[in-house]
Amino acid sequence: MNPFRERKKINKVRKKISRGRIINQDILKVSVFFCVLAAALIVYLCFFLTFESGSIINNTYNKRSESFKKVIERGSIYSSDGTPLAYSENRDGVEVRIYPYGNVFAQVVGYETNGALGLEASYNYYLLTSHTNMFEKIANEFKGQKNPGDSIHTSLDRDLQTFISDLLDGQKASAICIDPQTGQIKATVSKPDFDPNEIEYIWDDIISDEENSPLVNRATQGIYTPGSTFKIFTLMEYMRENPDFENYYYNCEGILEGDGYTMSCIDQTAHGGETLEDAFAWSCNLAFADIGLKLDIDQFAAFNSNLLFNRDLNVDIASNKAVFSLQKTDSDFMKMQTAFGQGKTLTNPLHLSLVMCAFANDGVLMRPHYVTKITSPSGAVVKTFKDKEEERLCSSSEAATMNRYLHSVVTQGTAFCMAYEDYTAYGKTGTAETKSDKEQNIDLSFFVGYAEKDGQKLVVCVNIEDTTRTWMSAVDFAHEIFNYYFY
Amino acid sequence: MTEILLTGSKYLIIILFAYFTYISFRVQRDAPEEKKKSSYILQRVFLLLIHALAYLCICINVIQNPDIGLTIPQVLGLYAGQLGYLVIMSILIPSFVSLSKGINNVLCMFLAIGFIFQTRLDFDTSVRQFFILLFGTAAFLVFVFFCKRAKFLRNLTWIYCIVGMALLLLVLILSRVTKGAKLAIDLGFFSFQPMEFVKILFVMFVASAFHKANNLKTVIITAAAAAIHVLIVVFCRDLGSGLILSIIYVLMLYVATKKVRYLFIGAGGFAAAAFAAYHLFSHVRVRVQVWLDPWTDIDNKGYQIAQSLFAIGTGGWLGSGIFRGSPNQIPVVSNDMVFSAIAEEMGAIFAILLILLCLCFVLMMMRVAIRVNNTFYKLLAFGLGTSYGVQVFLTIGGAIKFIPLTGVNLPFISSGGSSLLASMIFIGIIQALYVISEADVEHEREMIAQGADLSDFAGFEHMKSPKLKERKVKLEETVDVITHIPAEDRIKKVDVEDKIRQIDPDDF
Repeated sequence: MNPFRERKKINKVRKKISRGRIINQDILKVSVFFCVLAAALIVYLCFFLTFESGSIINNTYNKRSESFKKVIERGSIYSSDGTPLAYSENRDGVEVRIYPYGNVFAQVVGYETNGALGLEASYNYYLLTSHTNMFEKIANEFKGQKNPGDSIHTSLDRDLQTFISDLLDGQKASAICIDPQTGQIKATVSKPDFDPNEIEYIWDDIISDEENSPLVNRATQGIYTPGSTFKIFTLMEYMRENPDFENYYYNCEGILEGDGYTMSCIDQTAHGGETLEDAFAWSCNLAFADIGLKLDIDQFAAFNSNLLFNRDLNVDIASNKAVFSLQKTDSDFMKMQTAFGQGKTLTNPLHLSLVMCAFANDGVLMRPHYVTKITSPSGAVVKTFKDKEEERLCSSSEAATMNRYLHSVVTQGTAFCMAYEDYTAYGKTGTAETKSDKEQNIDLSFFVGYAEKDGQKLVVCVNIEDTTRTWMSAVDFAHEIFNYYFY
Repeated sequence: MTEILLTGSKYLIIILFAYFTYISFRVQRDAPEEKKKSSYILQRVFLLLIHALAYLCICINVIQNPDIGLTIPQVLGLYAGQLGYLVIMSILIPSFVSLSKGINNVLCMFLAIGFIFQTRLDFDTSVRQFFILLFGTAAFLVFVFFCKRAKFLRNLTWIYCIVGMALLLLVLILSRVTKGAKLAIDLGFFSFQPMEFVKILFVMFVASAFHKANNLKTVIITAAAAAIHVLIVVFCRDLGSGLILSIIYVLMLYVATKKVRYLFIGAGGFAAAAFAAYHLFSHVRVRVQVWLDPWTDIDNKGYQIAQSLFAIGTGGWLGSGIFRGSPNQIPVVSNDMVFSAIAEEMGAIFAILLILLCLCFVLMMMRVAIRVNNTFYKLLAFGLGTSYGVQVFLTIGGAIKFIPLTGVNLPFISSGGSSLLASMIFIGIIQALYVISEADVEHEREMIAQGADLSDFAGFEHMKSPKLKERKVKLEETVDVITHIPAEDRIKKVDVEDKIRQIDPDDF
């Protein structure tokens, strides 16, 4: 018999015998248990690295990008037509970041030093990741050169952004333009601004300039009293609660005196007898105060949270939440004030324009975003951010009714200036009292709306702080923007 | 050029480590030691190579980047010391002392990884750690020699219990709160953490209690003692250790009594305790909340775990290379979070291999437990293996946010003098048990060769069911028969093997 087979036979006998050792079975079971634990750890670690880590490590608290900077030359940021809005250049061995448009894209593209801002901050990790091919990397290592980082391509429209930036120059203002059918943000301007090329030299000045706060992107981070634009929400909630809303009737006398308070429409104008549509188009405060008292506040709060109040706006740049905090226990006065846009409610231009996006797109909000794709230095697409549905904010019939009302604001109401244009405009104006001096009211002027022409749509939200300084209000600026975009 | 050298060493380390891990699993197979000799040599070569390559990377970085604040002579001095240690520990000691070369090589690998990362994270700690390791190794050798001879160890049940509790009470009374828990007694030159030793004492206590008797009384008494241990630990707010002690106890109880119901009772008790702890202690709630969502409070409570995830995620599969990541951003990185530092700089592949190597280490200890005959030794090896396995799971699971953070460290790799000392003692005991188990297996082989049916010989003699008792009597009769035959009539070993050869395996 050959020795190999002998060995096998003896082993088999021995195995047979060891099978009898039932005593050790429990130890074996516990060993298997440890194998399962180890497998779980490994699977989780792989899962984390494959699916989660990409979004997790792109966080401003991850200071590791500092170490990437040593080995990677920061990638570029492009506008929708492929023009660079920010790029890095090697000047005498020092990497210099250049923003060819200077002030125009100040807050939205941002800067990368001093804590980083805008897209430079939120896509920091991508800009400092290199998808150059392996050979080139090795070649670069030999030459002692940095690897070029990946580039991000945005939906920002260079011409539109430049136009708006010039238009709003000298104001304390912001404007945001979104294509409601794709969710792509076309322009975001915030004034006053600064030149990111000189950020290191002007840093001390800007951070101490609390009155103008140029670092704040007013369009996404500014928090304002909504004024009459909030009537959109009050109106919709009233429609939901009262199917016979078309029969609403109110007689406005311009001024209303109640228990220790006085309320009035703007300039104490008496609108007279009016339907709901009239009240909305003329922006009648007293009619909406009346509606406010009729609403179920709990339902109103739930409805507003559907319409993105108190929620993260989920855009790929730093943004603040809109706040709605009215409660059932609040006084009637507070309810009335809130209903027409004063009170404790706070909104921001991005929030208002997202709600408008849903109206313009049959009730469906597309995911708002700036970045459309990321490419490697050789131009190959590394990652695309597809246009996708974020959520449905209201039914399509509600959206249709809202559009009818928003259109009547243009045809017969406060946005009449856009009535005879080639495009069809929809929108709502608003004025909020921010602070009252003895001598003059300092007001905040809002316009949020959209226009369409040949299937093309654009949502615009403009806000102007301190309207007393200018003869134009937000609606006029929006009018200019629509004219520029559609002609 | 240096970059190529760095990148090359990084990849080479991963490849060598992968092969090392593979061999570590392979040497556990049932084969004569002579056949595994080449594997052991390969393991040692790889081990020394990985250590050398890592130090090459450290040196290049030290030259390139003066910010690190180290000098080449400093680094090379420590390297020489560590190299000398690794050569003695992995090559000389096994050739003079009988111990498991497989376990010893994996141990040396862990120590080498510890050397590399402690040096990278904090040079001074690494030097200090190295000197403590020398003491630890002395203790290790003492235990290897001592344990296999000292039969009285199995009878010291209550001494283990009382010493363990006394140490814990000492911590409760004397220590000040650091990192939210009472852990260490300050001895001036040395901050002593008794918990690491209490774990070993606790395992010895449970093993010896069940060695003496295996009845309900023992179960109740040991359960009460375990509960007191855990309670004191919980009062010290060291919940990770409390968790380890309870898991060790439940699993040892299950193996000793073979009753599944204790597992269920244990699991139920654990769930109740977890529920109570969640509602009683705010720091438990914080840990759980931070585990569920570290991002909302990233500035404060979620900071450590968030930094750990950043480190692992940024390192990616292949790692940033030694000194090319920023593991020092993670709080207590050299201790609880050393796994994240390793994952960041050596890469996730290396980290996964490290998990596998830890598993291999657990299985090696379980193998000792299976092969040794005496109940005390069996439970001791099993308990220590469990203790190690659970600790590794809690540390790594915490670092990758698989489970909430418990604040325990990775034995042999993390910094911490007490932990290293206790771990070396613990591995000394395991090595002693290995030697005993080899003797047992050899003895058994001889008996089998002599034709005895020794299928039930291994362990737990006193806790047999009636059916097994019957078999045991038969067995004793066989042994009797064998031993009573006059020497010249005894069947020779060779003859028996011959007989076995003639048996057709299909008859079984």
